[in-house]
Amino acid sequence: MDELELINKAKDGNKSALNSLLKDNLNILKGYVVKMVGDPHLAQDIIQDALLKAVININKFEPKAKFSTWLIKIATNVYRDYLRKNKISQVVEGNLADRGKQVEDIVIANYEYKEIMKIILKLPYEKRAVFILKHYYGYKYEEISQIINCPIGTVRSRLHNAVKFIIKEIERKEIM
Amino acid sequence: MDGYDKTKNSLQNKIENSLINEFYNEEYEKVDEKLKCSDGAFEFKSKLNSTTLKMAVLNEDIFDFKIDTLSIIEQGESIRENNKANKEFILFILTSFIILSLYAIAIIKIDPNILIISQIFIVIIVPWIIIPIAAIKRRGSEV
Repeated sequence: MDELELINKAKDGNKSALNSLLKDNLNILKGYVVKMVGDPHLAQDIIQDALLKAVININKFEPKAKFSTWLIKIATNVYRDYLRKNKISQVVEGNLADRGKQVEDIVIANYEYKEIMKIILKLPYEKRAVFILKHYYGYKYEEISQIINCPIGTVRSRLHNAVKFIIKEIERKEIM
Repeated sequence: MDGYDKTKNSLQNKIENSLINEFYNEEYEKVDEKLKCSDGAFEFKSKLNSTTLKMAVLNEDIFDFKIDTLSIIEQGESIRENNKANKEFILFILTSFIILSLYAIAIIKIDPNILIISQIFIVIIVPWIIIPIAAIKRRGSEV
């Protein structure tokens, strides 16, 4: 059964179709949120909230874009709301250290993973979202601008800044 | 920083931006081919490639956590039902308020006999309309 058929059935109230739709797109959503958040516990909460919002608003979804793109957009908004509510400053070193520790608990042996994740987490969330969507998922500038609701020029400059920052940090940490 | 350095930096910046766009298969501003073959451009390209290799480490799915999609669907459906019930309740209250207000205005402004006429209408005529409609609806849902 193709995605469009599943979407139509899900809109008609077919739970099994909706479940298949969510399961088919769960991995891409999980990968994106884990990279965005860097903390598996928080990522789990954000994924659950995003999926819940998707279920509640499934009738509002118009299949112009892929379902995974819609889920990513919802997850980005959920994470942005979370940051606003919790007033997390993206550049506070202590906060990064805490996040780093949480990652460390799970990936003790994976030094590189931890270091790269720390660099990504140092980026403000807008630049991080643009970089992850472009680098790991190959979205076009136009699609990214629709996901995060900003002009294409802003997406372009955010990507340029993010890439340059990452290169600089990797060099500074001598991971290269 | 003097003017020469500023121009040099802005040119280097432009080349780097163009290389990033090219790297990610996006439209890029054409820069002088000589500049794109400069040492600075080559160095940046090589950094871009090695950074990509380093960033690939995040592709590993190391966090194994389960998401119960079925329970999320159940939760979502119950929230949707609640929202629907709330909307219907508000609509019911608003409609009732409007009808009763119009009824009261009509009794006061037009003729108090409207009260008696409408009561007779409600008691005698309305059941003849509502009961058949309800019976047809029930039969329809049973089929």
